[in-house]
This record gives sequence, C-alpha cells and structure tokens, in this order.
Amino acid sequence: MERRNNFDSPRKQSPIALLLIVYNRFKQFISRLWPIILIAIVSGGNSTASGPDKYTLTFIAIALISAISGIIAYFRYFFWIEDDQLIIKKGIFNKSETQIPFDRIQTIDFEQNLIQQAFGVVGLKIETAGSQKSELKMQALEIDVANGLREFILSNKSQSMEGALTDSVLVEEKEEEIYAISFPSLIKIGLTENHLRSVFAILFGLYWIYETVKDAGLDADGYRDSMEGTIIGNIILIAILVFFFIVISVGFSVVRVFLTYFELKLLRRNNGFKLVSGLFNKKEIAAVDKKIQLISWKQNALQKLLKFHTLQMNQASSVQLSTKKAIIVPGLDSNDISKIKNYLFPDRAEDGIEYLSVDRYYFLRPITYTILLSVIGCIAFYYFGQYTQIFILLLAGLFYSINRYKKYKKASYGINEKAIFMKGGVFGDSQWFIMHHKIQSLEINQTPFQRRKSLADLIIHTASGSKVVPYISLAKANYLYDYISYKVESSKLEWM
Amino acid sequence: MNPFQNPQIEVNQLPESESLQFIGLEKSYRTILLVTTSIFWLVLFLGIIVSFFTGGASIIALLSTSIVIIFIPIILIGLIGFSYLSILFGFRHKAYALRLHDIQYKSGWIWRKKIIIPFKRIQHSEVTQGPIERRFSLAKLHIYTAGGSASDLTIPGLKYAEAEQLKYLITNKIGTNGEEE
Repeated sequence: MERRNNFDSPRKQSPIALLLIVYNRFKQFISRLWPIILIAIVSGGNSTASGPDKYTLTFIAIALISAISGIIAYFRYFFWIEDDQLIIKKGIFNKSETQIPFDRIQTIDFEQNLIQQAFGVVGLKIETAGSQKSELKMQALEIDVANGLREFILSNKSQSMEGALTDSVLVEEKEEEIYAISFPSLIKIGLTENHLRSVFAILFGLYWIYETVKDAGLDADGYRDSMEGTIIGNIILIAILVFFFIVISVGFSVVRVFLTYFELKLLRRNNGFKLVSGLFNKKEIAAVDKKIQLISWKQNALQKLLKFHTLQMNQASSVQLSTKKAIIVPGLDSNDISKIKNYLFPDRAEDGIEYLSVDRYYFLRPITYTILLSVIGCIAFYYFGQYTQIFILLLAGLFYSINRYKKYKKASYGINEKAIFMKGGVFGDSQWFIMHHKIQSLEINQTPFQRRKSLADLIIHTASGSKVVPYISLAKANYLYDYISYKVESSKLEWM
Repeated sequence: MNPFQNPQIEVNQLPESESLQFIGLEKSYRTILLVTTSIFWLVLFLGIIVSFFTGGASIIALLSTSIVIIFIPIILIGLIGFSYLSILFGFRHKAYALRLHDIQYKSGWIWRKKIIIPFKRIQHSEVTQGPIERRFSLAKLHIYTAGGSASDLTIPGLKYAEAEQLKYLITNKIGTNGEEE
C-alpha cells in the first residue's frame, strides 16, 4: 500500500489557531486572576473618578500580554510526522519537543466550537496511553488536514500492530451510517428527560421556604387564624409556581437535548464507531471496538412507553474516567441496540441466559430502616404537634419503599461463558453487560449485615468503569469471583 | 439446578480462592499504624490546647458550653477508640495471596473486602517507602490497572525486599504472560 505523507516537514496550525490561542490565553488569565481583577474593580468603584481607571488598565494589560504571548506561541508551534511518530515542537521560553509513537495514540477526537465552525477548522484532541495525564490538544486545523492526519496516523498505527492486514485494508473503507437522529425523536428525547428529580428538588425547596415563613409567623399567636386563611392562597401560588417550573424545566431540557444531540449520527467503520452531534458545539467522538469495555442502555418510564432507549458505550481511557469519553446515543429502539451489540460483541451468546434475582434483603434491609426512621420521625412530629409533617414523612417513606421494592424486583443477573449480564431499573429499565475478557479486576464486599446473612456484593471493574451485582449469596459471589477470574486469565481474546 | 453453563471446566474443578492460604502483613506494620494514628491524635490535641490558650475569649466560651463539654469528649473518645480498635482487629484481616495468574488482597474488620487482579490486567507496579516505614524497613506495593483508580490496589506492610521481589515478579508476569499461553 502506498503511504502518502503530507506531514513530513514541520508545519503550523491553521491561522485561525492564532485567534483561538489568544482567546484561550485571555480566558486563562481572567480565570486565574479573577480575584485580583475583582478587587481592582471594587476598589476602583470606591475611589472617586480621579486619575485613570485602574480596572481598564489591568484589562488592557492582560489583553496585551495574552495577545503577544499567544501570537508567539502560534509561530513557535510546529508538528510533523517522522518514522511513525507524531512530533510536536513548541514553547517560547521552555522549548519542548514531544514525540508520540503512533502505537501510543489511543484516540483522536475532533471538536468544533462556534468560532471553529465559523472558520471551518477543527480542534484536535489526541489521547495517548500511559497512566499519567496524557492528552494533547491542537487548537485549529483545516478539516481536510485534520482528516488526513487522523487517517494517516490510524492507518499506519494499525499496520504496525498485530492483525494489521485486515485492519489497514478495511480502514480505507467508507463509513456506514447506522443511526441518525430524526427531528421528532429529538423532541421525544427532550420531553422524556427526567424532569421528576428537579421538580421534586424545587418542590422541596418551596416547601422549606413556606415552612420557615410560617414558623416565623407562628411566633405570634394572633397570626394563626389569618395564616390559615392564606394557606389556600399559598397553595394556589405554589401550584402556579410548580406549573411554571415544570414548563421551564421541560423547555430547558428540550433546548439542551436540541443543542447536544442535533443532527446526531452514529457511523460504523470497520473497527470502531464514530459519533457526530451538536448544533453550536459540533462534537466528534471516535471509539475503536477494542477500547469499548462496557455497554449499557436504559429507558425511563416515559421512554419505555415510547419504546426507545439511551445507549452508552464506555471506552477505556488513560485520563480519569469522564462522561466526555463515553459514547452516548439517545433515541434508539431495540433493533438498533441489538445491531450495535452485534457489531461489538457478536459472540456474547445472549439467548437462553437464565436471569437470577438478587436476595430479598436488597429491599428488606433499606425498608426496615425506612420504617424505623419513619416511626421515630412520626412520634417526634406527633409529640411536637406537627401533623402535616407526619403526612409528608409517610408519603416520602412510602415512595422510597416502593422505589426500593421495584428496584429489587427488576434487579437480576445472568452469566454464561462469554459475559456477565445485569438488568435493573426502578420505573424504567436499565441493562448492562460486560464480556469476561474485558474485566480487569473483581471485588467482593460485605457489610456486617451482609456477613450475618452470608450475602455479598460483587463489584466488577473494567478499564472504563465499575458495575455492581448487589446482594447475592456469598457462595455465589465467591463462585462468580473464581469463575470470572478463571475466564479472564484463560482468555486469549484481545483485551484493548 | 446450575445456571452456569460451562463446558470447559467443571464447577468443582475451578481454582478456588477461598481455600487459598493468605499471607498476613508484617507485624511491625501494625506498630507503624499505631504510631501514625497516635501522632495524628497528638497533633489534634496539641492544636486544641494551643487554640484554647491563644484563641481568646470566644473559643474558651465555645469550648466551655455544656454541649461541647459533654458531647465532644464522648465523640472524641469514641473516635479514638474506634481508630485503635480497627487497627488492632483490622490488622488480622489484611492479607494477600499470590497465584500463578493473579494477586489477591483482602482487608476489613467490619466491612470485609476482597479483590483479585489478574497479572494480565496490571499496567505497572511501584514500591514506595515513607520515613516511618524506612525505620522498620517496610514498604508498600502499589499495583496500577488501566482506566480509573477504582481497581488499583495497594498492599502495605511488606518487607522492603519482599515488596521489591513481588514487583519484579509482577513485572515479569506482565511481560511473559502472552508467551506462556
């Protein structure tokens, strides 16, 4: 295969990078010096208008410094490719030359914010293997250049690795679009986001405010009757506020979903996925199959009704785990999900798996505590004569208990010789599975209570996050611990 | 009824980790723990005493309110007692075991914990030694895995030479594992 290389001589980034570097430096300065700036502003405000404004002066100084240092930084930044290594040379006072062998490069991601979009350039994020924080950023490259660089690195990288032949041939293949979000599903996703949590938070906040106001009012006995009269008024007010709040929070999530998932596309290449999405901040995340350790999908109650899931694929990352590296695809139906699963782990042999439920103490334990606390709380409130609180406490206790019961009912796990599977959820559904050969360590944890009942939690660690199989018998946990570690150790499958 | 379909190996033939002989940590590590905990409490008490004498009226007033006088000592004594008890009782539960393909470590007096890391999945390992550990010629072995730090493992209270040996062993295992199979 011909290896064309347009990167063998040092080159600079796109001139747009100049703008971005200056902008970023300016931002950095501000974020580092904001206390000083704040003081400057405050003290400037106190002194009467004599002499030049200190605040404008500092501002101009900062702008100047960042502009000059940014410009120099831009002209001092070179990158090129030499002997299957990406070399980056930079620095004003501390000159540095970084050499990154292609094999060390884990992922190359593109990012486009508004400025970058307007000028048709992309930012490059290169992540390398290694346990120390190792991420490399380029501010702006023309799209063709960035694509060329990525293609070149990825194709030559796979050539120098085992199984090179199939990989490098197929990398050239065009990408296949396996999923694209439609406008209606964008709306659907936005509307079915979990608003419940924020509604409860605000409701609680409002109730607290109402109570404190009431408490303050109740200090004087005479207010009691007039307070009773306004309670209905307050309830109406609260109802109106809640209604507005719901409208606002729904609207907010619709907008958020629109911005992040606009024109979302999941592309399939031979050995990985590529996710493109975003309205203003165009994001492109690429993940090689080998790197994907863990796959999970879930739907809340509303989404269950509308029959769609949100899928999450976690890839191994040398940087501390963050959701940024996860590929999250909303609005998928069951067919899409099994399609993606088949791409990734075709031999998981999922059919005919027998799911086992977790121990009943998984809900009996928290419920015992809930009942105990509720009884104590009720007695206390009764003693102090606060009857509304009793009602609210019982309601909350009941809701929590139902939650835990549902959670227990839904939680089940299954295992075969290829993978471990888990189902869960409360009102909705959630599922995950991990192939045995992706597991990197196992843990058994026991609380004192679990020890008395010979129960245990099994924790499964992968390079991209951990999952828990809770409240199973200790014997079973030990068995899984032995079995899976045996599977990991005897597996000859490629790990990552 | 056995839900685990496993054609390659019979259930009772699986390598069992339960019957493994776990190796306890060095006794002098318990001494180290006792010393460091004592230093911690001493520093805290010195801090309280110093602030009592230099803090002026407000702190004395705060410290001599009835709640503080009754409850703080109770809580403090409880915490101190617990910290020493968990060292004395917890120490017995800290132990590690090596097999041909993995390393295991268990710990916990009240909350029990057991973790297994196959050598295959270890990224690298490291031996560290603090100033107090140096006096007792002990060291810690840190084992790092890929991704986050959730599955990283630290085994304290090893003889320095032993820790170095373990590290050497692990490094070799990481290197040769592929060829073995």
